[in-house]
Amino acid sequence: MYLITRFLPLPRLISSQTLVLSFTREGASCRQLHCQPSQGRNLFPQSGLICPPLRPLLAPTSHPQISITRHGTNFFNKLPAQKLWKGVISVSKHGAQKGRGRGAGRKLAKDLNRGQVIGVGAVNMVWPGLNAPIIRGQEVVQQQMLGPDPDRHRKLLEIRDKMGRVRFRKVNPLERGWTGTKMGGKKIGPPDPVGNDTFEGFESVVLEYKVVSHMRGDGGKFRRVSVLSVTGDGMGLAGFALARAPAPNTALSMSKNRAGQRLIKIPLYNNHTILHDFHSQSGITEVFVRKMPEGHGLVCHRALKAACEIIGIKDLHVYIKGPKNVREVVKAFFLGLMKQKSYQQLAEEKGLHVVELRKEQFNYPKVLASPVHAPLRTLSDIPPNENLDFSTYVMGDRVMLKPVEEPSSILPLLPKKGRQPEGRETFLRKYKERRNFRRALIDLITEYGDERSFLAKQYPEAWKNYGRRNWNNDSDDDE
Amino acid sequence: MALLERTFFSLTSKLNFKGMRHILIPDTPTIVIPVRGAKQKYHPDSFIGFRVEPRENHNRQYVSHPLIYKDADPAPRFMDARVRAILKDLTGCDHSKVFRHRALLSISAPEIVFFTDEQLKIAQNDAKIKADKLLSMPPVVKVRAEEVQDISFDPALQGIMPNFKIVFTDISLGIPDNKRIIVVRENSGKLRHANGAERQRMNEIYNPRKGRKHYVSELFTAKCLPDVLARGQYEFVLDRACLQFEPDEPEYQSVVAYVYEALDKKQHYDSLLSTRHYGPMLFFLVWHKCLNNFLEHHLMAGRLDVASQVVKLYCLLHQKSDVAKAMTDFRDPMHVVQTFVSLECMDTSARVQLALKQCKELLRSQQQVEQNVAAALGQSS
Repeated sequence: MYLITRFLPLPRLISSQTLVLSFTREGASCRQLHCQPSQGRNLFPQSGLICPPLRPLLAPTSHPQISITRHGTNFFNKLPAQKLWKGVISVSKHGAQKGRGRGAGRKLAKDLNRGQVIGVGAVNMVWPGLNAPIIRGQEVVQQQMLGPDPDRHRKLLEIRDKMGRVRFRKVNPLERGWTGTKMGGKKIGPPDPVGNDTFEGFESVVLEYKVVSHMRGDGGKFRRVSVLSVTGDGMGLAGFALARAPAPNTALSMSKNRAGQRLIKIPLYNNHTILHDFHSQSGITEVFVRKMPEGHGLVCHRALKAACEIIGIKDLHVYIKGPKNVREVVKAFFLGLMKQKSYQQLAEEKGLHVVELRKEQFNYPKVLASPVHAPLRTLSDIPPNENLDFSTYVMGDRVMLKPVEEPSSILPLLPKKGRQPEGRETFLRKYKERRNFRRALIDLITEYGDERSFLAKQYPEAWKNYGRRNWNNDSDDDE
Repeated sequence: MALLERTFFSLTSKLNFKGMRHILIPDTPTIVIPVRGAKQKYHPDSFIGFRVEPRENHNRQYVSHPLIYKDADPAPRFMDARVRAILKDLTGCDHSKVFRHRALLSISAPEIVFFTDEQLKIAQNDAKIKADKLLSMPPVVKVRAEEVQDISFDPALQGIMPNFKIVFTDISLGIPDNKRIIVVRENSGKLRHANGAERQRMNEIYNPRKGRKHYVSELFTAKCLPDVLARGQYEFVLDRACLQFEPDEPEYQSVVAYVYEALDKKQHYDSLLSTRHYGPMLFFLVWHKCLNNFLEHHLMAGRLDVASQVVKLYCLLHQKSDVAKAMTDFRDPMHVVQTFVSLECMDTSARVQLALKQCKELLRSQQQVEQNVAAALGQSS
């Protein structure tokens, strides 16, 4: 009897007629159940519960027989829940060695009781003393049926669906670093305040994160985490530092705090790029850094790009010669930044005016600095073999090896010699047909607000948006 | 002309309509034939007839303005050295504005060079010449005549190309656009010189200018222009007009007059300072005697010298006016402006007189301040 009440949600079988069951019992499980409305005994003779006359939920009253049958035995009704779940979520030894059952997507046991409350079921009933108080105010609460809750089943399923899988927190794509799984390129916030000095407006970024180890006499292999990070305020104040610690979080915070103690002021040109081109070296890693116009962007190693964003440099090109070891590259770059000369300094060194010529200002000679302490030299004072080329002078007479340019896929290809694999003549012949496409497109958009040719009026299907908007009733649409 | 005729007859059999292309033009259907001079060699197949049809946007109208130079020719006055000197002087040459940052298609890092003093002076001198070039004023000329000269009438050629007129254009090299021979054979058999619109269209076909559009840009229509001007983009519109039109086109003069009027209404004269458009704008205001706002603006700011220069310009342009007759001596700016206001602005604008009064007070207070400063410094004036 108790089995029936356990396995079958009671109200499901309640009908206006007396519910009669005949059943057999084998072992611990119920094998066969028959509900016959016309014959049998009261379900709850001892409990004294009065079943109210209810609408049949499972079958219409005229149905002669309700039959729920489960044949035979199987693992499902023999094993306890714990073992059943183990069968679902466990990973073989071989699989575990391969790393299965770890990380996102790992299966977990579901708690099927979650969301279920005693006294609340599929039929929405008020049971005084179970899910409602017995006396409310002066009145005794009566047992009664409320309207059905159509969302109950869906909500239960929702709660169950949320369980059973490991999910990672959604991280904004901009905060995922370079690869998403490793720490490199991830931001770790400003350094911790020292006393009353806070690092307001600072941000730090991890440039290198790796596990390093060495052998110790007492404990064998000793592992630590090594973190290289750079911190800065985005306005030319920045520093970088390396720190090692056994725990990852300790290493990260140590690194950024140390970087915060080693800040240097980097002079910027118009707050967007460096003062001048420079060459710098650390170990056998050499960097050739070129100043770039506004809007060019950062074209360099990803670690330098991250460092530049932290420093506040927006336009730059860096060519690295030699090994691209992050520590060496960053060190060489920072050394070069520190060794930049101001225009005044250059003017004093040379005894000449330092003048800026910009194409977009018709090469108007803008004097950046003139020598004050050193005498201003004339042409006759300058020896014939002196290097007067600004670019090579600031680069220390070094010339960068220019990498071969790849054709850009975004901008229209300009016919340049030696760029097209098919040969210049063939390229030019083909390019002739589309050389004005971009300009024509801009003209069309200015003229019609869309990409449509003069043919579109006569042949509307020639317009790429054919069918989406009506060509003839444009003005009507606008209204 | 005989050559053109001969060429045409020899070509009528050769005209191959397969090779014709469609070009849009605001006129009746036309056949266009390029012709080269007798001395130049040509390949017989180089003569291609174009069928030219009305352009798609021919319903669009440029803004129109009554104040175009249609009666007297302003060119001689505009070319007068004294007039140009005043215009250039008032335009000014602020290098930070003349050489301001302009948008280019490609960007490059600024170049830095080492200069000696002599090299720097040469570069600065070059910049001055460049500035003069950038500030050279668009010409102010009379609007072009619409009547065209007939050349001949040949009844035998009547209806030779039904529904078409035929345009012959001399496309020999080295001929400026305004000297190019362009003639039209009407369907009635009349041979005449091409009118202004036809000339402009033919020149555009054979000698296109970069940035010039063959359709009416919406910018110059009454729908868009007020909005653009309300944003204060006077120089942009004027630059675009210079690019799009010839100075003697009525469309150009209308657009430009429209801009000047909008600018005058808001007294935004300073936005054109150190640009090539300031001179023609001032010339326009003086020529059409719309100086009230200009004088008021400058007198309120205490710029008496500017006002007196403008009065001088007025006397040069309107030599038969009362002011020109009354004015003998231009040395005292206050006297010059006062004479002008009393003779020209008495009944038109009380605001100018008020501004003159305010200008006087401003100058007096400035003088007072200077005296006080001098006294405080212990100097006797």
